Amino acid sequence: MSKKTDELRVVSYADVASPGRRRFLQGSAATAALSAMPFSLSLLSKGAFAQSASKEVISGCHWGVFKGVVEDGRAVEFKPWGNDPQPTPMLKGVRDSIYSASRIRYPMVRRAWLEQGPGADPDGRGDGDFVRVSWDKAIELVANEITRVREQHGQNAIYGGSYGWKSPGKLHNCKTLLRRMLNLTGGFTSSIGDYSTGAAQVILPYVTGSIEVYEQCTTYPVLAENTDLMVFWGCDPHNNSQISWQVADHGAFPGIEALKKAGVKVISIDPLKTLTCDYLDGEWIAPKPQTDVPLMLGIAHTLLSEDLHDQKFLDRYTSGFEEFKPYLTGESDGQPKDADWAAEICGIDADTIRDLARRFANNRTMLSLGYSMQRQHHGEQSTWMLVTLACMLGQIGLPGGGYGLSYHYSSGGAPTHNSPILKAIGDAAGGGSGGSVDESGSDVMIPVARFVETLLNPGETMQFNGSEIELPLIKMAYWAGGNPFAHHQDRNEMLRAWRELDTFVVNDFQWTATARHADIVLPCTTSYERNDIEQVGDYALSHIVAMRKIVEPQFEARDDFDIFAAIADKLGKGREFTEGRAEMDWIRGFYEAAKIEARAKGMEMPVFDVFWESNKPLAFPLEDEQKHFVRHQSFREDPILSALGTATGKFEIYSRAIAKYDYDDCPPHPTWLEPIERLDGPDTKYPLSIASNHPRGRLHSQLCGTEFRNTYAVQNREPCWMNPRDAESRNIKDGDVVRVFNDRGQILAGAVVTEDIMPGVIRVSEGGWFDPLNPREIGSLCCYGDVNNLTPGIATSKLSQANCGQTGVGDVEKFEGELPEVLVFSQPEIRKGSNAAS
Amino acid sequence: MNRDDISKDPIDGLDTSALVVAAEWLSGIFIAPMSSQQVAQAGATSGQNALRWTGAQLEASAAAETLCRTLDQDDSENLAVHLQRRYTALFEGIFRHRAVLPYESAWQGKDGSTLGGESVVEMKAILRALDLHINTVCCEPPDHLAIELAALAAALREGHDTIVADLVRRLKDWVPAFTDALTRQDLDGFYAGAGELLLALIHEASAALAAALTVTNPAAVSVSEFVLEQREGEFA
Repeated sequence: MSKKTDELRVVSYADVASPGRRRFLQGSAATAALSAMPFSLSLLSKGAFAQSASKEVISGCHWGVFKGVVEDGRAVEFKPWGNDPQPTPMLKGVRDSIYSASRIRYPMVRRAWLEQGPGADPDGRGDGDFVRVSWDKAIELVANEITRVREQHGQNAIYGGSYGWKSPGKLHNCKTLLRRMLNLTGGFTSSIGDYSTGAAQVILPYVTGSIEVYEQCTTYPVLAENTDLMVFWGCDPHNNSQISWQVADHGAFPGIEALKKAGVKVISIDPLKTLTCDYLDGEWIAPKPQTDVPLMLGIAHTLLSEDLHDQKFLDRYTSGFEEFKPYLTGESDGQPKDADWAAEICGIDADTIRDLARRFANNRTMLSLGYSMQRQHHGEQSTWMLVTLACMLGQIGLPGGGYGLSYHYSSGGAPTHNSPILKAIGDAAGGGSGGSVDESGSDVMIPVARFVETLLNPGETMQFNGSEIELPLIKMAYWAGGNPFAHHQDRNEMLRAWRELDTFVVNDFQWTATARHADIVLPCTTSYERNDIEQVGDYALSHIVAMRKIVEPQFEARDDFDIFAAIADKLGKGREFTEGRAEMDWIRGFYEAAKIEARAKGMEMPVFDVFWESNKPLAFPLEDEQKHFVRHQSFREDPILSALGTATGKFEIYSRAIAKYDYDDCPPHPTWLEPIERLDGPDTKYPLSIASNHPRGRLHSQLCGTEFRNTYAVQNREPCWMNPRDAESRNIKDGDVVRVFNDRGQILAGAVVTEDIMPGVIRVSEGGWFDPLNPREIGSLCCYGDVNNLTPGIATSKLSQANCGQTGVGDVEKFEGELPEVLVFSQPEIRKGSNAAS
Repeated sequence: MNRDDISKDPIDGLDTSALVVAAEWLSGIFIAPMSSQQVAQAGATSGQNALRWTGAQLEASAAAETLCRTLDQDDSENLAVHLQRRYTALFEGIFRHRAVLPYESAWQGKDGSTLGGESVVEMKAILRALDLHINTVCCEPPDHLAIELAALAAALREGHDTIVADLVRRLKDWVPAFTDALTRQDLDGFYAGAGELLLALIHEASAALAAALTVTNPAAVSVSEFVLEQREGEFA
């Protein structure tokens, strides 16, 4: 037998000289059969690979620092780092994301697109007819399509505003890498803002002079020491602090524990009983969703009418209260916004509202606001009104008083350590790695939540934040590190809009609904299959952690860096993209720059190799001043020298800039404006308000496609919380599959009947994977429970053009028909007893 | 052709050539969607003869005939497109049909749908014992059906009876559930036919192993009985 056959099919008949080997190929029939085989791929080659030693590898992710336990090249466990104050159980699902059954294994192209060209059969997006192609072919197709679209429709016809919770890490930031590739090779249309704080981050610079929502709050040690009354208003840090934008430090948990030990009184104002309220044994006040502004106005009116407000603070530190006061008192419109008026709208009795005002004023009170209220129609108003309320209380800048807008986000309030800032790879146009409104990415930008509107209305003019945007014609969209088929509202309108695209390209590691609706799908690595570096804690910045590769890339997955470098190279900009540096060169560079900054701060970081090989996060000190940080303290102490970034340098309760815009949906002071629909609203058709909160067992849609889903799913559907009163009147029992519906869409969900939600409200968390029964049919039943089938795609206002994911009403009925399977997770069907041993 | 044409190892008394051919053919079928050239070659007279011969050796002529009929149905270009679609729908894990994932982990692991299970590590050990590794052009984990079959073919060729027994046992543990699902999803289809041939291969390998063990080592009768017991259950 010739050794030439070594690489032919299975290797081992190369070495038949071994005496014990069978002489099985002597028969002419077998030889003929083998020679007639159509397969020449050699799967196995001679020579064994050594068994790799078991090891524990340090890394980090949105869920925290962890050690990946690796046995023979396989990650068997993600163990929380020993110093993590409260590891999240979701780490188990994080590990599973490497090995999920929904993993994308090869580059794939939708058949109609491949065979008939861009724009072919757009209705067929999502029906799964993909063709596996080689990486070379896939890169060529993407590069050629970028060129074609630019030549035929102009640079701005490419949308590179990809948005989402990409993995942390300073190098493999796929959103930045996408923009880097597009910037280097030509122009594109980008996005501005985000889905989390789209309204707040636009209104707040007018009100407080900065975006606030991603800035440090008064720290927990200060709260524990000074705060009498902690008000969590639509704010649940005990749930949401499991995750962070960078690597989670979970610093909120010891902070909350400190509040508990200090005996701080807690009030939770929320349609749902939150985990935070439960843990701190708080007082639960449940107003009707979307009526927080009337509730705040009612409290404000009481403060004013009972002379509980701090006029000195208003005079010295704010502007515009005098313009606001006539509205509050009713002098301007004939309707005093008193507690009785508020009670009629929000459902909280007037005495309670008045009592809240007195308690707020008579105690050192911290008002902590979540994001949900500004993700509603006219969502700017709730944030503005809360700041106004805090101004009236006059405790801003005092230890333990005022307001905080990040207590629920990435452990805001956890003290900031004295740490250098790690640099990150840039987008080649000066853009950073965040996602907020202060970040630029390209010449043409549309508000991130208005992409669907842009697709449907090219050439039309949109008002945005005092300017006009001419909506570009978009023919190609490229998404990396995001899942718009989860985070965007009004799924069915979105499906209609998507048909305007010639080409949709997606980098992802799982077959999310977004990937399923793509024309070209490029499989990328998880962050556990590559090296990177990141800081621990968005606010704490307590450590720098080496995000070391845990396992080798699975299947044909490639790093986003390599994918975009290859596309850039195809377009003649490969060298500019990589700058001649490989992965570890970049990471070392980020670290070395931080080392220089640390030296300037009087600290000496170890050399890179020592850090990298230490397998430990690098700790930075916490200094007393930062431990006791008080938001706006410097402004309070010296409002001239430390003026706010507003036009007047003060908190603006009335904005002349906004007044000039003359928007009918965003008046120049906080105002109650009826949303398009709400619980018991004047023109509202459906009886139940839909709360689409951040989920308890996921990061938005992340981990939905992992085994962790089994910890919360009901009959493999997304849970739908219902009050027993609402369930009983519909003959629904805990555990039933229900259909949730309105005029926009319909989903299946699993009923969870609980007293932890107020009557008239249901909760279906955002991020459930979209699973249409018939992908070609707009309006088809979503079998798993993607709540954004039900939410409206409208904008909060002309000012912010943000999303209204928390606006929506619908109804629920017990599902009685033949129950369709959930197919989106693509599990194999395992029947008990079907194996050989049975 | 008949089985007399096949050589037999006088030492082992074990006829493995048909098993090797079947394992290699099925490995090629399950590793990736077939190109139009591969479909043309499989559908050519020589390709179909080989398939029929293999079926005959495995006492699965009907399954082989089903596959041949599919290969005759259309020209190779159209048929390749059809088979690629079916492959993607069945094995790529995308959707609208439940994926019938061709990984042992997906069928044996405690986690049900999770890939990268203990079978990956076990298969790595088997490949080491065979002094083999997965070629760099292949990015699949070692518990992919095609790689387990390639390893089986290698073990049969090399006469590693213990490894053959191990591979046959593990294939018997998970492949029946896999082919069961495949039959439901691909009713009367090409891949369901391939699944039948796969079951026949495991059946014949199991039987051959039992026979060899009985002849060469009467003390191994308990193992043999175990194998036969399995036949009466799933394979009989």
